[in-house]
Amino acid sequence: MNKSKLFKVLIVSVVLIAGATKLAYAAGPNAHVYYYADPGYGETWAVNKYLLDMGYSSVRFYESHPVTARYYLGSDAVFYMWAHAAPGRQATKKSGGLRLSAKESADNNAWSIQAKYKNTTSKLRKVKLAYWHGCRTAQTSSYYGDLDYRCSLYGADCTVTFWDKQYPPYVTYFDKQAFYRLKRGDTVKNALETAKGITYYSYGTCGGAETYRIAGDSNEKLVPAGYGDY
Amino acid sequence: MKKIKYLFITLTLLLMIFTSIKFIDNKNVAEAVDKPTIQEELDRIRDAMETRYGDIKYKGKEKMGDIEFFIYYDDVYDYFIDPYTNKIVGMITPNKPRIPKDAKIINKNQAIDKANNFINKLHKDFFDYDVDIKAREQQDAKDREFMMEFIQKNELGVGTGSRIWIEVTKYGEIVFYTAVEGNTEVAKQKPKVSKEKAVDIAYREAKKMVSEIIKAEEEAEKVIDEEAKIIMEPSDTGEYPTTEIEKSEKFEANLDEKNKHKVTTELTVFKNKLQWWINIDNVEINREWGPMGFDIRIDAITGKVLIKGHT
Repeated sequence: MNKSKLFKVLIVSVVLIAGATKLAYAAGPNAHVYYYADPGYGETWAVNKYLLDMGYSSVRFYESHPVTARYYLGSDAVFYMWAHAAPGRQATKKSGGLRLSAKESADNNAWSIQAKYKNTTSKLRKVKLAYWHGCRTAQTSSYYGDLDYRCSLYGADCTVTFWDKQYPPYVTYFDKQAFYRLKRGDTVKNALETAKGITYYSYGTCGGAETYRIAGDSNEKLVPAGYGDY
Repeated sequence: MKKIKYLFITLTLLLMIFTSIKFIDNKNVAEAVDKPTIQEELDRIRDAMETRYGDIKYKGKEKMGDIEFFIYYDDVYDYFIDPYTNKIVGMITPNKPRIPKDAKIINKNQAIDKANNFINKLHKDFFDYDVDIKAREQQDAKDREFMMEFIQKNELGVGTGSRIWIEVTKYGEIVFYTAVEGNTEVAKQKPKVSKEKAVDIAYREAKKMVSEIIKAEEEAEKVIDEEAKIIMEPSDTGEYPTTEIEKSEKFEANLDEKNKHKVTTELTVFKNKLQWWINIDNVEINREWGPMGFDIRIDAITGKVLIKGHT
């Protein structure tokens, strides 16, 4: 085989392998990872990578409008958001002035889960895990509702939220450890408990991540990659 | 002459190697004498809990920070063993904890007593020092209603670095344990950075973080979500996502009115370094996710900022 032929074969092989890899990823169940300019990217790169490694077709979105996150939530197997938050909502875009909230409200800047997915109990049935990381996402607001209650109501298998204020880098390190364990095949509870131990051991604090709350099935696993229970 | 020189160098090198081997050997012998076997350690923790759930088996290795720990498990717990000391540094409950047959609901003080007894059995000298206990009761936290942190301090009130975290269910079952060993010698060091100076540094860093937030928000304004343009679903009140760049009110944090803040300071050893841990909380901001908090760790000897972050 002459040199130019060998070169062509090499190029074709690389293209084929790259294409096949891309196809393999694209074939996986959907996952989305959201982050914002503030509080920053955290460990979203690692979380996204672990999801890809698990076989999810995971995409990392920067500065997404709440309408986008809400729209994809319905077709996601895994949803992960790292953003500022307050009870019943995560603050996104427009410097946190737009909200992805749980319950319908009279807020012009709120895109609620209820408004899009109401009237059935199965519109979020594809969701295996919705991970709402921000301050006090586990708390209920009389105006904006309760994120994990709303997700469970519409069929999500498992949600993770947090009671207290969240201090990075401790809490984002916690997420990285948790998703690493999920990738290894641990249950959600096992992954979070191990992540807690590791974060305490590494930093002497979990920065508020120890106040996580699991709603739904705490024995949920992300591997093998797949959608939630129908 | 040259030969003698080479001979001398070779002899010196041999002597050095011999001495180091001897030193390492002695160290290993000393460690081997003090070091419990893994089985002894596992028995010790199970005795401390006064309950045994099935046989202990080896599970594998787990990386925690820089160390790869051995993991053992029984029917309820996973145990983390330090491979160098054979000591148990952690214990978790991967599944739902069992409810004891004679289950009685306990209160916070009883949970603290339970954790105290457990620590006493595992770390005989832990309470030879003063210990700060931070206990939290959260009935909504299913299967771990009581969360506690035990912070060991020396006679000067400086954290030795030995800390223990324990979680207990409302039925009195210990479900989580992690211990970090400190260094009492480092805790004796006199900090070169005073508390006041450390708080000043923390405020300076908090102001820097505010500037970074302003800059980040300005950058974010330029990013238009192209997907939102296509999805175009209205908000709860019928407003459609805008496709224009939207200017928002400049971020402001009231770091000047210090009397309104909740500032906590802690001088402690961590990772063999004397550190100031400063938290500035309850800072008013013009965003709905406030009031916000700032967390800054400073080397108490050099004044170097080690870690910083904000809510």
